[in-house]
Amino acid sequence: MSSTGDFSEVMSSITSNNAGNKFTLASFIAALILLSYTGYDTVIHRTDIISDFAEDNQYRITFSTQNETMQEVETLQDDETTNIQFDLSELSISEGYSIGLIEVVITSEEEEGISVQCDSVAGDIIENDLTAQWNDTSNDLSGQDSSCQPINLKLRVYPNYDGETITVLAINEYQALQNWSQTGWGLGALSLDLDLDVNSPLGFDFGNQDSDEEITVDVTVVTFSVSIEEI
Amino acid sequence: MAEQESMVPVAAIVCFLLGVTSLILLNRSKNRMWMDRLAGYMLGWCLVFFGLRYAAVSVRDTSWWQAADITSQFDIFQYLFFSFTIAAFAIVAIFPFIYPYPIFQKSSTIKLVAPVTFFLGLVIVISMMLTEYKYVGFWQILFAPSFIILIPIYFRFLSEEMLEGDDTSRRMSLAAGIILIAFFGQQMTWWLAQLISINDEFVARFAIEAGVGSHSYVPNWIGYTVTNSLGTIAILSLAAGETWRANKKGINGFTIVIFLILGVGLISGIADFAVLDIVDSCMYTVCESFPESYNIWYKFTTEALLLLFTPLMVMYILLHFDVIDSEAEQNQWMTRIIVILMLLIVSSTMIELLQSFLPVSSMISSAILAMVVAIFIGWEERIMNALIGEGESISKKLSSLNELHEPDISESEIQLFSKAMGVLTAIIFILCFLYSSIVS
Repeated sequence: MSSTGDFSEVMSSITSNNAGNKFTLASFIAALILLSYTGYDTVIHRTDIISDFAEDNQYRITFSTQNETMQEVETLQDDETTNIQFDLSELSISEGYSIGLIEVVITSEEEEGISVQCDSVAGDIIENDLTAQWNDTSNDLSGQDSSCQPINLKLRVYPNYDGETITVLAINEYQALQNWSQTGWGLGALSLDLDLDVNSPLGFDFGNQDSDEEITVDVTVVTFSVSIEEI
Repeated sequence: MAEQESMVPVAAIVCFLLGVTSLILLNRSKNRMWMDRLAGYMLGWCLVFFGLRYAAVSVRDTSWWQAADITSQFDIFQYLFFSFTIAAFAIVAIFPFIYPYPIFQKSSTIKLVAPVTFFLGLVIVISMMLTEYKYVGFWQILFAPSFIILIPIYFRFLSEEMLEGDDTSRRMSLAAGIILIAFFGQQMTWWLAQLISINDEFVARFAIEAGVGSHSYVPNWIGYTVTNSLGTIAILSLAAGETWRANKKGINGFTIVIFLILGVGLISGIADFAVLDIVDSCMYTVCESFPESYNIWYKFTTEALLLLFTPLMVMYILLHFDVIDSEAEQNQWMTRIIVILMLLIVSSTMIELLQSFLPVSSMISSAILAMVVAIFIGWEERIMNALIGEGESISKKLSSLNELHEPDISESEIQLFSKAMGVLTAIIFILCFLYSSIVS
């Protein structure tokens, strides 16, 4: 008898072998079981996890700071230039803290007054192998004063650190903190050049009495730790 | 270690060349039954679409295109890639209704194959284009009919061979098994990972890496879960069936292929489990890269199976089951050339890939390639006999069982499929060109 090609006839031919049907049934049941638990894992469980990544979360990052200070007093002769090194490895930085920036204050002993002519003092932070943001626009690497005012210098060490609270968008806390968990910044020594140019009152220095100056250099190393909260 | 080159351009050449040659050879095989001819056209066009799909990826990866200033989310080659993938999937969805055991045997339903494939492909191509391919993964469910139809066919004819001693039934179970591997080969190499349900962690990682959008991933993940699960059960079913057969009749080439894939899946599953921390890093910390050895393993197993060996399996189906009339005098030279060419391209690609990470000098790899060429030339007769000489037509077997209807269907009605796919190709090219121009 030749086939008529009816759908029912075709299906009954395919399922005409009992042993074959048992294997087929076992395969189909196994497929259904596998589909149900892998389907749950993928479509339900993973969808919950992935939904956290659909949009970036907003995090507020705040900085707690601790300051470490170093001081050096130098007496400079007229027209003398001297270099001072501050080895940052001598600092005891607390666990979990990183060096954010370095502030330098240069003060001379003279005080401005009617009879006093202030000496000219200059200070320069010298670029060396200290790991810091040497090309940051917020740096003040050079300063000069002849009015008995302190000279303030600043070097940013950690990228983008200014101590202000910031808000970031990220998919998780780890990635939000990624920019603030770098290591290796602030290794080395801070090198500072000091320069003195004595100015005598009215241009006269009787008996060569004002030929030197005591200059105090205060270095404040600002260290920070971060804390994060989802907004 | 030298940088490993992509296999995709080779796959583009292999698929496209084989697809076009198949269509030419089919046009010269007028004496074949309707199911052979229709199945041949379907496989031929499927190969052409896969060839065009890989070609789109290859062109997009060239330095020429990379240097172009593309600002839009999708460019024309991405549109072409997705569109030809969908077109191939549409054929894959309909194919098991025709071959190796035609469910559609009435002339009225056979005539519907071309328009249904055409409109199914076109509707999905357009809808996915308009939704920016957010849900393109869902359409992997188009592979489901293959599993549902081919598994009963495989077991029916395997049981007949084993229990009733009908050796001619082997050609049916073999055809069903090879088609299952051709369609689910990639997923079969992930069987252990799917069985212990860790593939979900991989799909989640890939979603995060791609940039999780605000749209739902559920449709895509339904598609992945369905194909991964069906692929897993397919390889385990084939392994069970072939073990049964090997116990009674001994081991043959197909048994070895099944156990090779089973072994690859076992090792891949263990490797996948070992890298779970790296997979999860995307979710809890930052995405870490996979180890180089892990990438090499997948390149030589899953990727090679998908890109290089799947076209060869399709070629085997076309030749071994007499879909193409390879005995005809005007077809013989072209068949011989294409078989040797395919084998050489795949062999040389594998040798080049091996050279990219093994410390083998180019002199030695050239010598190995020369040996491979010599073997193929020397054994050309034997290879062709294995492929063609023992050709066993599926349609003849079904006819002998009185299970194949021979409807009144003309040659032009069969060729309508080829014409419909030609029109679909043209429409896809025009649509992709226009749409990419509009959205850029």
